[in-house]
Order: sequence, then structure tokens, then C-alpha cells
Amino acid sequence: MAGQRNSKAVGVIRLVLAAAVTLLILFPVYWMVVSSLKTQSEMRLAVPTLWPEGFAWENYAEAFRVIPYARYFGNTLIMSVGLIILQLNVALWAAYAFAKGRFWGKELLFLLILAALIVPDQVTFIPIYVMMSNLSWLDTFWALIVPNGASAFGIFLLRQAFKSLNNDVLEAARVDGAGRFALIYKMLLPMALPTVVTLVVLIFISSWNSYFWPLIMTNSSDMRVLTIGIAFLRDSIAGDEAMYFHIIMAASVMAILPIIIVYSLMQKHIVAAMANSTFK
Amino acid sequence: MNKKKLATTMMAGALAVVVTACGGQATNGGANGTGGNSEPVDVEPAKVVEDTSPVTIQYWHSHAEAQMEGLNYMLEEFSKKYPHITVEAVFQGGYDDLHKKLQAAVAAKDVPAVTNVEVSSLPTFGESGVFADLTPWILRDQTPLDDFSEGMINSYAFNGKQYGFPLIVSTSVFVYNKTLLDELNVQPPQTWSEIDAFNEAVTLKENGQTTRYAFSVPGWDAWYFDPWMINGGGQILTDDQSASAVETPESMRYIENFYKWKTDGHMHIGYGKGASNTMRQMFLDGEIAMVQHTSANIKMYRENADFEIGVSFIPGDVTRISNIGGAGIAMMEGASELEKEAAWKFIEFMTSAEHNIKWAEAVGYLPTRKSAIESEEGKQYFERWPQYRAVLEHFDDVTPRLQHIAYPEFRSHYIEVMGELALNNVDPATLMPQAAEKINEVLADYE
Amino acid sequence: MRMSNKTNTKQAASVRTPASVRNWRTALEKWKDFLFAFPALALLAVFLYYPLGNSFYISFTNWNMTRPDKKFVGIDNYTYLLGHEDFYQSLKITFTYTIMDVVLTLVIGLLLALMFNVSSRLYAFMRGIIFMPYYISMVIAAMVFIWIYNGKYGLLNRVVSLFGLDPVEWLINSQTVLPALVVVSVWKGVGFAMILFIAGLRSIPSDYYEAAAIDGANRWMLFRYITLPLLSPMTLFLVITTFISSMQVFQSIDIMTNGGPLQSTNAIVYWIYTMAFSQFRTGRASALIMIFFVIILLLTALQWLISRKKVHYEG
Repeated sequence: MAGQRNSKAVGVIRLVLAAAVTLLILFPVYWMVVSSLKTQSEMRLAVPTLWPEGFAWENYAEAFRVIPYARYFGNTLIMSVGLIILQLNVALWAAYAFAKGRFWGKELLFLLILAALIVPDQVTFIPIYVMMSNLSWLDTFWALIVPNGASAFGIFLLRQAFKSLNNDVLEAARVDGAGRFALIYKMLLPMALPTVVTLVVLIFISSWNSYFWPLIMTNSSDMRVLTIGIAFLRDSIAGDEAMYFHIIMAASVMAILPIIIVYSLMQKHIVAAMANSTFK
Repeated sequence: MNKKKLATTMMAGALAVVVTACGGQATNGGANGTGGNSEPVDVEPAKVVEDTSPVTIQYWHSHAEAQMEGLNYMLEEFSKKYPHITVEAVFQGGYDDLHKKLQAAVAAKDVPAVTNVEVSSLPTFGESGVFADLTPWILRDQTPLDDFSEGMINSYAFNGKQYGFPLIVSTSVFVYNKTLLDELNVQPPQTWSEIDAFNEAVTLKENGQTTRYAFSVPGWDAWYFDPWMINGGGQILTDDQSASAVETPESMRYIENFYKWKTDGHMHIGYGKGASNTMRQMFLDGEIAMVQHTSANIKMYRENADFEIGVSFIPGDVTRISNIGGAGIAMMEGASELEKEAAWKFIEFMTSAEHNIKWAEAVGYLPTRKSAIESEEGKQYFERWPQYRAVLEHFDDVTPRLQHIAYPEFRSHYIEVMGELALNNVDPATLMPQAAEKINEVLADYE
Repeated sequence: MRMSNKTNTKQAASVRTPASVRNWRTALEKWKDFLFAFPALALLAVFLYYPLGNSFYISFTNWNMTRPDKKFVGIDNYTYLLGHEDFYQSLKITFTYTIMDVVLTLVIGLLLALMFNVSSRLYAFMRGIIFMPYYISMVIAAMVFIWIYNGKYGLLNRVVSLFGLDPVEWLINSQTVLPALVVVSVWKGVGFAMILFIAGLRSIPSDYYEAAAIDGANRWMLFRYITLPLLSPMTLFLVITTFISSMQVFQSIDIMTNGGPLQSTNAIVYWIYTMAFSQFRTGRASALIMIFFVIILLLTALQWLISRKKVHYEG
């Protein structure tokens, strides 16, 4: 790389700049945490304080009181795990079929799958809502998971990964009488493991953060997820939003904490996998 | 069970056809509130039901956190009175979110039994056949409708059908900084003609920049300025409700005054999402001396201001009215017969005179029952909350909003004129004719 | 028997079996392959293409979803929308937002990639932080930014006042509201773009640079003639995915602006949603869905076609 010729001075300048950019991007998250620890009166100071005068932990107690955190956390987790299992398997099978299989209309059908990328939830949910109601699936995990079972992006990602894998090994295995499930789970999956990990993480992120779908498909407070808890917290203190921002921020911190922990533990794998996983 | 469902669905269908057939003849809320609960001749009283087998009904609501204590109290009292009925109260977000969920639920034929409805959306939902007409039960149980404030009960009637009862009722009032006004020795204006003098006395300027506004009127919701239009002698639609009237000289009087007051730096107009917070903060920080806001916020103002607050009915000119706001409680047409009976008991209980004062005080909204207001409990309530007196004195001047199925859609056009005035100081006279055209377009669309 | 040439190994294995059996077996194999694509196709058929088809049908009616009856109105909904200035206004808002979002996300993402493409633990840690907003829910991101943008107590106005400027109601000002929304989206998206660009940078063989440097190319020329062209597959991927997601902008509008002020953030998907639910016009909203679908499909295909000539794929 060109950067190899950099002198030490340039390296220092680069590091300072990089650190500044990092802090800038980190700032809103920092601000959320700091705001969550301020008192109501401190939130309304003309000159905002960059560090709370004292830690107002009672904001968290209040957020816990309004949002049944354990329940919502559990719901979010069940939904996310369900989506990971379903989307991953459906994507593995489809990716195998489209990357290594032979059947009629393969290219056309693959285009139909890709087209799913351009359709947002907001334009398809009404008929699905009616369907879920007819199945008596409304307000259950089925409605949260099954309609999103096929991830076009996931299929695309895995197909790219499978395509780049060598056919000879597969053919050899096939000749040895390996079935398709064995091919997928014992050969393709381990060989494309980085992409699979990426996909799992991406599914986890998107389902943990999803808002619109659970909002529409659940009708009882027992089935709510964390994002809805936050949005409703804001709604239910409607008109008093600015007065309770410290509590909204406390609830927000609680909602993103799990995902930050997961990410921190797996960061190395995720970033590496992400880098390997686009398309060529 | 299935047969019942089918029958209910068919009934809902038949009813929708009937309702559709008489659609279009909207009643005029306007100034005099003729929303009308005249009893239609062909409605039979509901049958007396002695069934006390357990039933569970869902109640979809928008009660904010601050109202939950009151709601829980009511639910507890209700279950004491009707042990066989379980009410599952589910918060469905603000009114907008709640209305969206209701529509999806109707489309899926999977509805709660009881719901809140924001008052201006009642005609649209009622006309679509979403809500059940409560008249049969009212006839059977001889519910004294005349015990409700007339404007309030009429707000929940449309085309001769009583689609709901008023539950949390508010009206917009001026909340003022009493400490400041006493210091300046001025009274809040009671008529438009007093406003100029009020402005002169109260507005504070530094180098031509206003540092304290005399008053603020919210521009984000027509609910706040429709009464001004009517008080100035104007109306939103023509008498036969066929065309826009917002551009007539009478209807323009208020907004032309707003334009003048605002340009002169006396008046603040809030607009956009979050404007309500901004306005409130400016008031609490002493940057606005008097704000028009919902009476539901009086409690909040009293608790948060570090000065004394007063409440005044909005000033009048040709007339002096204010509009009814808040939400009512309604029964879903798609519910089963068993659920409907339970729903009726719940609706009646929630709006009963017995708990009216307790409920009003707990949630910060207005009492709705005359007998409750006149009771001993009611008198004590007004002693504890003298700020509500200003509203009580004008109880009969609190009128329904315009009742028209297209109102929730077309009002956005003249609200935008107010928005242009609030944000960009555009002369309303240049924009109102276009807004009127757009309103007429929407009206034509509904024909 | 189009496939037969490609399946030499297989034919070799089954050379002794009669042709009819072979054909039958090939057909069976194809069916088995297809069965693996079936769950995905079935799910999409039921939960994507059926709803779209349903919307297509509804777009020719005046349906209001609270009513059992709907009337066939022909192409009225389409002519209404295409003849209405609000439609073009909403389209303009959507495109303005999309262009700002795509350009800023990619340019900043690329600059960050160049800056952070250093192999050290410290830089890896910083990359992790820059990627963080990507996995924060839009609901929460929107809340934080509402607070930062707050006209009275917001931090942004505090910063602005340090430069001696007047405070701005960022979200209640037609001029600033769209950029304010774009900032949230860019904040969330640059980390992802950066990581993909870094992956692209690292896949460029270093001997390309060495050869060019020997020929006397300066750093700008290296960037212009080697880095940029060889990054183009990654760029195309990011352009298309960012384009699609910005065209669908909904959540931040729903939480931060409700389409306002003065309709200035009434982007298409948000408009569809309010048309169907706040105005009870499911039929017209369905027509808008169809129009939107066609527009986004054509534009995505167009980007793909244009770029096919310009994108450099290795090997």
C-alpha cells in the first residue's frame, strides 16, 4: 500500500485524525449514556453539561418500572433466535440450489428472489396481517418469524460464497453417495463459515432492531419487543417528551446493551467475515 | 362460535351497506354543534341479558402513563362490580397508532371489543361501520344522555347514531403566568378587542427582537385555531358542507390578525413535531406570558411552573367558543354479541356519574356529567382545582369540532397555511385560496 | 439436453445406464435441486408476491380497509396520482434524500476506509467503534438525534452558538430537516461502507501499485487509476444497497418528523403508509405502491446495466 512510505510524523497526524473521527462518531452514543444519567433539571440547562453532575440511577429504575424489561428482552431474543434459525436454513438450501443445483428457470427464479430486496415491509403488510389473522397467528411468534423466513439478502450472500467454492470436491462427495443435506451441512457450510457467521450476525442485528413488523403484528403487551417498549415509552408520556428524555435515554441504553455486548465479544469475527462476504 | 362469527360478520356487512347508503349527509358541528342524537325511529332496544358466564374483552387505549393509575383504579372497581367480565387493557400507542391498528384489525376481522377514539375521527370510523351504534343499549338501560354535557355527548354522535361516549374530554384554554400578569397589572384578554392592549403591556423587546411574547397559539393542530376562525364569524365549510369556506373574509379574520400580531412580534405560533414541547418550555422559562394549550395540561403546568398559573377561556369576538378535544370510548361492530354486552357494561361504567369526578381528577381531563359536577364531590374538586373553573363557567361554550368524514384529511391543507405563517411568515391571504381549492378537491373526491 | 455438456463427470459415472433411465434420473435430480430452492420461493410467493399481486388488484378499486365493499374504479387511482403535484413533490423529496444519503455514505465511507486501513489493534478497535451505529436500532438512533437536534436544549445548537450563529429548530425547518435526517442515516451507514471498502482495498494486489510507482505515477494517479477502478465492484454493491434502503426511508421520518414540516419530508413510503392508514385510501395507496415498485425496479436495473460496462471484475 501507498501508506507504507509514511513517515512517523504522518503516522501521528493520521492517528490524531482517526481518533478525532472515531470520537465524533461515538459521540451520540456517549451522549445517550450521559443523558441517561442526568436529572430532569440538568437536562434543561442552557449550557449542556458534558459529564453528569451526579449519576441519576433512578432514571433506570423508572425505565424498568414502565417497561417490563425482562419480558420484552425475552420476546426480542426468542424472535431473533427464531429468525436466525429459519432464515439461515432457508437461505442455506436456496443458496445451494441456486449456486450448485441444476433446474429449470434457475436464473429467472433467482431474479424473483433478488427483487424482494426492493420491497419494503410497509407496502406488503396489510394482506399478510389479514392472513396471520385467519391463521390465528396474530400476536404470536409465528407472525413475527414466518413471514420473514426468506431473506433475499441472505440467499444472495450465501449463493455468492457457495459459487466461489470448488466444484470438484462436491462432485467427488456426490459420487461417493453423499446426499444434498450432507453436502450443505457437512461441506458447504464449513467451507463458507465466515459468510455464515456474517449472515447470522446481520440477521441478529436486523431482528433485534426491527420495529415496524412487531408493532403491527402484536396486539398485546405480553408480546411486545424492546424497540416498541422504547417507542411506547415515548408515546405514553406524550407531550412531555422533552421532560422525560433522560428516562427515554436510560431505556435506550438498556435496549442496546445486549447487542453491544454480543458485538464486542464477536467483533473480530464479524468484521473479518463482513469483509469477505460481499459479491464479486 | 363459528356461526355466531358468521352472523356478526354478515350483520356488520349489512350495516355497512345501510350506513354507506346514507353517507354524505354529514352533520355540521361548526359553531352550534347540531351533531344530533335524535333517536332514530327504527332502532329497537337491546335484549336484556342475564348471562354471567365469564367473558374476556380487550380494551385498546391511548391512555398515557400519567393516566394509568386512574385507569387501574377504574378497572379494579369494574371487576368488583362485574366479576364475570375480565377487561384486558392494552396500550396501542398514541391516537394515530391506535387508529392505524384499529383499521388493520377491522380488515382482518379480528377486533377488540372496546376502544378509544380521538374525537375528530369518530365520523370517519362511524360512517365506515367500524363502531357499533350504542342506541339499542341506551334505550334498554335508559342511560340519561341529558346528564352529559350536550356538546360532549354530541361529539360522539354522527348521522343520528351514538357511536361512543365522551371519556377523556379536554378543551383548549389559555394558561397564563399569573405572577407576571399581576406584576404588570393586566388581565388576560376576554375579547379580541382587548388583545392589542394586552400585547402592548406584555410583550418585551430588545433591539427589535422579541424576548417575551405576549401569547402563543399552537399552529400544529387545527383544534387550537378552528375556534378562532369560528369566533371571528367564519366557518370551515359552507352551510351545506359542500365546499370550503376557509377563504371567505369572515373566516380569514383570525389568521389575518395572527399575521399582524406575529409580524409585530407579539405573538408566537408553534408548528411542527415537538413544537408543543418548545412552546411549553418557553412558557415555563418566562419567554411567553400566555399559551393556548389543552386543558389536559393544566395539571402539568401547575406542577412544573415556578410561578403561579392562571387559566382563562379563549377570547371571543362574534362568538366565544372553544372546541372539544380528547377521546371517547366506543364499541367495535365486529365484536361478538357476548363481548358487546360486556363492552356496553364497561363503557357505561367508565363514563358513569358515580366515578366521573374521581376519573377526571386522576387523568386530568374534564368531568362530563352534570350531576357529578353539581355533587358535593364535584364542588370539592373545583376547590382543589380552581384552574378548571374557567372551563366550567363556559361549559356550554365548549362545542364539538366540525363533524365531517373528510375533515381529518382536508384539514391538513389549511393547517399548512398556518405552518407557512409560523415558519416562514408568509401572508396567509396569498395561500388560503389555494388551500381552499385543495379542500374542494378532497371534498369532490368523497362524493 | 442443454445441460448434458456441462455434466461430463456425471455422465461418465453413469455411462452404462440406458438413455431413458438416465434422462429420468437427470429429471429427478433437477427436481431434488429445485426442492431446495422451494422453501425460499414459497415463502416469498406467499409473503411478497401474493401481497404485491393483491395490491395490484386493490389499486384498481376505491377500497377503504374498514369496509367490506370495494368498487372497481379502473385506472382512476393512477391518473389521480400521476396528475397530482403532491406525487412529484414526494418523489423529489425521496430522490433528494436518496442522492444525499448515497453520495455522503459512499464518499465518507471511502475516506474512512483510506484512513483506517491500518493493521494494528488500535485501528481495529477504532473501526469497531465506527461500525457501532450500524447495529443500533433506528428507533433509538432517532431518539438520540431528536435530543441532539432539540431547538432549546439540543447540543447541536450549543455548538452552533459557539460559532456565533442563531439557534435553529433543525427538525421544524423545511431547509434543515432533510439534511438532518440524512445525517442520522449516514451516521448509521458509514461504518458498513468503510468495512466493505477496506476489504476491497485489501484485495488489490500490491504489485499493481509497485509497478505503477516504478512507472512514475504519483499518489493521486495511483488512487485514480488503480484504487478506484479496482474498488468498483464494491462501490456498485454499496451504491445499489444504499440506494434501495434510502429509497425506502420510513422509520426515521415516522419517529422524527411525521413527514413534516409542511410535507417537506413526506417521502414515498411514508406517504403510502399515511395514505392507507390516516386517510383511509387503501386503493390509492396500493396504486402508489405499484408505481413506486416500478420506479425502484427500473432504477436498480439501470444502475446495474450502466455499471456493467464500467465495473472492473478481477479474473
